[in-house]
Order: sequence, then C-alpha cells, then structure tokens
Amino acid sequence: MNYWAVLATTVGIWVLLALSLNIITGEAGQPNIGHAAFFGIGAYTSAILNTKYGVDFWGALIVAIAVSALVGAVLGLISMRLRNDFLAITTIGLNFVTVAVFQTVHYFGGAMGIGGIQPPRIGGLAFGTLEIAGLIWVVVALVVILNRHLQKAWFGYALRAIRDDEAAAAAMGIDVRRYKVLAFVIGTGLAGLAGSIYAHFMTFISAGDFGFNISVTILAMVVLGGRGSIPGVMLGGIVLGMAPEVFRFISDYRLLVFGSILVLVMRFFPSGLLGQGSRLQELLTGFIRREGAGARVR
Amino acid sequence: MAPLLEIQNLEVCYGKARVVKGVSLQVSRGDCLAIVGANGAGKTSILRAVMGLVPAAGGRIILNGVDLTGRPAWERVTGGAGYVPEGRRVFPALSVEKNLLAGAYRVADQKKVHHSLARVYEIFPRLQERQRQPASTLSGGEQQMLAIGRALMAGPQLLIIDEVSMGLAPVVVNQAFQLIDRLHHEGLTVLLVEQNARKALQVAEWGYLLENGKIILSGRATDLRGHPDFVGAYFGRNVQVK
Repeated sequence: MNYWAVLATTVGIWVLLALSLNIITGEAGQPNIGHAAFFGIGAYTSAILNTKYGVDFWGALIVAIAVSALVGAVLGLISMRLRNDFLAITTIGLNFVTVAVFQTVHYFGGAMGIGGIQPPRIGGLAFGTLEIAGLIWVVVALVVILNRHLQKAWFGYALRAIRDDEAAAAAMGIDVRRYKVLAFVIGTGLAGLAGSIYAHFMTFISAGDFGFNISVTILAMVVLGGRGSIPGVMLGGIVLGMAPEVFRFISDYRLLVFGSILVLVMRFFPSGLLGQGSRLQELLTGFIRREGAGARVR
Repeated sequence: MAPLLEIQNLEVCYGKARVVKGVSLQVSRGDCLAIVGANGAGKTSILRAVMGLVPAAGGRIILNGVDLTGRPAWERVTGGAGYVPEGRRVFPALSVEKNLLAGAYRVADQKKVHHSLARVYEIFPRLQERQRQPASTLSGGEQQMLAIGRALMAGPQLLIIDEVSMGLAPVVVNQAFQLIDRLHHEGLTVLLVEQNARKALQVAEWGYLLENGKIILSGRATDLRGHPDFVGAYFGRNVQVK
C-alpha cells in the first residue's frame, strides 16, 4: 500500500509539472527548458519557511506559489525581448543558476540540502503517504478544471493565437505581452505548487532534485503526450513518471529503453500521443463520435 | 475634416538599415489608397509600423486624430484599424470560426461579434461551410478570405491589406480585388500595399509609388498607371512604355 501511495504521489507531481509546463510551452508556445528551476524555487521557498521560520505547510505553499510566479513573471517579461532559441537558452541558464545558488549558498543548505521538513497537517493530523497522494491528485484535478476553463475562455484563444503567430495575434489587438506574462505566471506558479508539495512529501530536498535533467523530463512529458492537449500531457506525465518503475527490471538499460521509446513516439506520433491531429487522438475522437451517433439512433 | 490616417515623416529601421525614409501620406475617410512598388521598397514596413508591429524610428502615426506613435499594436485595433498581414498569417491550429473570433478580440459587445460573424459569413459563404476546420486545411485563396474576414470582425473603419495577391492563382487574385472594391464601395476606407500595381491601381483611387523607402510619385491612380517613372520603378529607367 505504501509503495503504491508513494508511486501515486511521485507520478502526481510529474503530472502536475507537465500540466504547468503545458500552459507555457503547449498553449502559449514559449520554449522553457528550465522548468525545474520553478519546481525548485517552490520547494526551497516552502522548505525554508517551514524549517527556519516555522511556517506550516499551507502557509508555505501559498508563499511558494507566489515566489515562483513572481520569478516566472520576470521570465515572461524577458520573453518579450527574446524569441525561440534565445529564450530556450535563457531558461536553461536560469535552471543552472538556480541549482548553483541552492548548492552553494549556505542559507539554502548548500550541498547538504534541507532536511527535517514537516509533512502537511490538518489540525492534529499529520499527513501520511496516503493522504499526500490524495492531496496531490485533488490538486491535479483542480488544475485540470482550471486549465479547461482557461482553454475555453478568451485566455485560451489568445494564447493559442500567440503560439500560432505572435505578430498576427498582436495585429488582431491581442495584448501579447499581457498574455505571455500571464501564461508564465500561471505555469511557474503551478510548478512552485508542485515543488512545495514535493518538499513536504520528501521531507528532505537538495539542489540535485531540480537539475536540468528534470527540466528535460518535464518537457519530454509534454511533447510525448501532445503539446496543448490536457489528457495528452497527463498521459505523458503518467507514462514517463511510471517508466523508471516499469523498467526497473532492466536496471542499467533503463535510460536506453526510455530514450528509444521517445524517439519512436516522435517518429510515429510527431504531434505527441494525444496532440492535435495525431492518429491516436483521431481514432479516439472517431470512436467517441461513432458511439455518440449510435446512442442517438438507438 | 481630419484624415482617418495620417503618416508623417515615418522612418523604419532594421538594425542599421533604414528601409522607410521619411514617408508622409494621408488617408481620408472613404478613400481607397494603394502603395505600390517593387520588392524591398519598404511597403510592408510602412504597414507594420502603422500597426505597431515594428517601432517607428522617426515620424508620427495618427489614427482618427490620436497620435499612436510608440503605442502598442492593440491600440491601433481599438482605434479603428483592421489588418490583413502579408502571407495571410491565419492561426493554423485554430478552427476557421476561432480565427474569426480572434479578430473580434477587442470587441466586448457579444451582439456586435455575432453580427460581424454573420456578415463575414454572408460575404464568404465558403468560410461558413468550413467553420469547424482548422485553418491550416484551407486553400491559399480560402486562407486569404479568412484573413480578410478576420480583419473585418473588429468592425474597422480602415482596412489595411498587405499583398493580397501574393501566392494566389490569377482567378483568385481577381476575386480578391473585386471583394476589396466591393468593401470600398460599401463605405470602408482601404489602404492597400501591392506588388501587383496594375491590379491595385484599378481598384484604388489614389496611388503612391515607393522606391527605396521613399515616395517618388503620387497622384490619382488613373494618372499614375501610364507614368514613365512608374514603369521605371519596376523595370528600370530605360524601358519604353507602349
């Protein structure tokens, strides 16, 4: 039971991270290969508030979201001046700088990391692994609902218009700066939220947990599942989040298999497993439509 | 009456290259005006500066009496300008209808949006047939209709069209110009930029000939068509006009 709860929590955190990056990269089309930086900023903010200042999980969570979103807003403003590959490299740089700061500055625990983080509690009840697993999936559900609303609102149209053609979107009167910054704020704020839960779940964090390889994994989840597709990105998070467990039996060859799957999916599903126009997505929607039509006839 | 659009001594630079060098022109209400010139003359840059998509390095852009120089692009849209960009630039992943709705982004009144949508579908029945399709699946001509329809969605007073003929079959080009003529006769003010000068000057009342970022000739479209400088700007100075 404990094993499954831990696995569910880990996968839930990956799914949340993939959903958060999807708003920036999938919906608004802004490259971000340093998303783990915001995951780390959330985790460290929460850990420091909890261990040094005695703030409980719920208070620390809110501040962690706010701090990550604030740094995200700055990156959003930078994205107005930098495009595509330049922005991608800036985000990588941000990830390395963040990790270096966590690793070297004594206040952040240096190479030793931060331990003794309290698990979340409500009243007198401290959360065990099962409760944390429940918490993360409730959060995932809320984020999916929020994301669905945003997709259907003007916000979603505006972001996709910016993703498709920024200049044309501006010429339609869409305030590109505002929406880009908003996408970064929401996406990075949610990564901070994931970080905060992660810190209180692990009770110990160190800079290595938020390195560049984590950023690449999150991006792979979004691309694998299908940029812009909520079910797709969730599937990507689940598949790649579970992969280390599923392929545990081949131990040393895990990364090899992992990488090969990615290459094959990109070859046969270039828009991701459930991305717009992918064969799997068309099959599924075709099936749902047929079922729906059948139901009406009956 | 003050002109709808006034461009005063506009300069546009890309890095050190000055591509628009002190262009001034006025578009009055009800006019149809064409800026023509060869490739690289700076035509598109003028329009991009008018729409706020590139900064003006000098000069002023006044729309509806409001000085919009240095203001963001969306203020041009709320100020009454609708823009059909070069190469159509529809949003490929969005459906036809969502492309159109994106054009009405700055219109808060939903009644007006529905009214505009109905009007665009009336002008382009083909778009209504394909309203749910992603824009990327449309033909070049249909994408051009969509780009024009999208610009009409905000109910502009001034329609700015960049290279409507680019990449389209001759038959479709003719249809596009007929449509522009129709919109103009229905009261819309139009500013065209075109490489296809012959077509543009058939539709427009006024023409401006641009060469190397400067206006070298302007006047009534009918007078401009046979002017030696006009032919020279396209084919070189020593060409005889017959």
